[in-house]
Amino acid sequence: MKWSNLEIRNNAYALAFDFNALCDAETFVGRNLLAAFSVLGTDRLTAGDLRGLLYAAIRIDAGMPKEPDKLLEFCGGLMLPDTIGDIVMALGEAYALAVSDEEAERYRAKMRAAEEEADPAPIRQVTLPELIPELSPSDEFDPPVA
Amino acid sequence: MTLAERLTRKVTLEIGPRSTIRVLFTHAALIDLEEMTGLSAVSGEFDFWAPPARLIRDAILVLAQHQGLDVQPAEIARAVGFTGLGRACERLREGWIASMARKEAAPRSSKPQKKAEPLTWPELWAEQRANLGMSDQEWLAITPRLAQELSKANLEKTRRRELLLSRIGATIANFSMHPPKEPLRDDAHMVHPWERDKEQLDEPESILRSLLPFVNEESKGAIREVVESGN
Repeated sequence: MKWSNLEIRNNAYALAFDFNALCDAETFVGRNLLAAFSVLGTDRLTAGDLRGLLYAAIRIDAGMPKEPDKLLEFCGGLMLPDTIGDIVMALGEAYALAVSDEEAERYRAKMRAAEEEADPAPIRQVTLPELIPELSPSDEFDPPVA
Repeated sequence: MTLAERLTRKVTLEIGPRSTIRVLFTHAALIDLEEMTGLSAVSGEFDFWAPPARLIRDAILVLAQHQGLDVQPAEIARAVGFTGLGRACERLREGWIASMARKEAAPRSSKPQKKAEPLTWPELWAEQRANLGMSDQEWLAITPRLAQELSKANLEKTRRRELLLSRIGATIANFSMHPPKEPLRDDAHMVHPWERDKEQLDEPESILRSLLPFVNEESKGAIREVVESGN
C-alpha cells in the first residue's frame, strides 16, 4: 500500500485508501464518502465528509486512539483553519496513489486547478484615509460649524 | 441457466482473476440487498449513479452469493480493490438498468397526475402473484423488468376481454327500446380503457358532449356554445 504523508504541528501521519476501510468508515460515520472524493478540493466539501475521509485513510500509529469514536474525534481535532488545506492535499494525494495512473493524473490536475482557484489574493495594505475617504487628517479636528 | 438469465442483457463483473459474476438483480437478490444495507429498493434508495462504497461491496456480495459463491465482504473488497471501484460501479449500473422496470410514460391528461406511493414488497408480491399466477419461487427468480412485461401482457389480455363485454353492453343499449340519443361507443363499459381513448374521455369537451343526451334544449345550447368557444 502506498502512503501519503501529512504533517500537522510537527506530527507526521500516514494516509492511504482501501476499499474495505472506506466501507467500514461509511458504515461508522453514516456518509457517502465515495461521493465526497468528487468534491474534494472544492467548496462543496463539508467538514463531516472531510473528517470521514481522514478517518477512513489515516493509519493508526503509536499514541493514536484505536477506538472508532475516539479516532473520529482525534481526526476532527486535526482539522483546524490552518491545517485543512494540507489535509485536503494529503487526502487527494492518497486517492491518487490508490487509483490507476491515468485516473491519478486526472485527479492531480483537478486538485491543482482547485488549489489555484482557491488561492487567496495577497492582502493589500490599506491606509486609514483610503478606508474612510471622507475623513482626512486636515478636517478631522475642525470645530463644528455653529 | 435461469429464465431471467436468458432473457436479460448479459452484464458481467470480474471479481479478482478467477471469478466472474453475472450482474442480475432478481427479486430475491433485491430483497437480500435491502436486508443487508437497510435501504429500500422499491422507494428508489439504491443509487448506483453516486453510490457509497458500501453499497457497491454489498451489491457484489449479494450477487455473488446468489450465484453460489461462498465469499465474505472483506474478500469482495480485496478482490475488487480501490482501483476496480469505478469499473465495478459502471457494471452494477448497467446490470441495474437491464434488470429494473422501465419508466412508463405518464398518460397525457387534462387532469393533474397524483404521484403514486411506492408499493411495498408484500404488496408487489401479492399483486403479481394474484394477477400473473406465478409461484413464489418463480417470482423470486425473475427481475422487476420481466415482472413488468408480464403485467403489461396481462393488462392487454384483460382489456381485450373487457372490450368484448363492453361491445355486448353497448350493442344492447344502442338497440334497446330506449336507446341513448348519442350511441354508446363499443368501449364505453371498459374498466381499463386504452390510454388514447382515456385521453379523449378526459378532455373537458368530451365530458360536456357526453352530457348532451341527458339535458334539456336550453342546456344543450349552452353546452354547444362552451364546446365551440373552447372555454
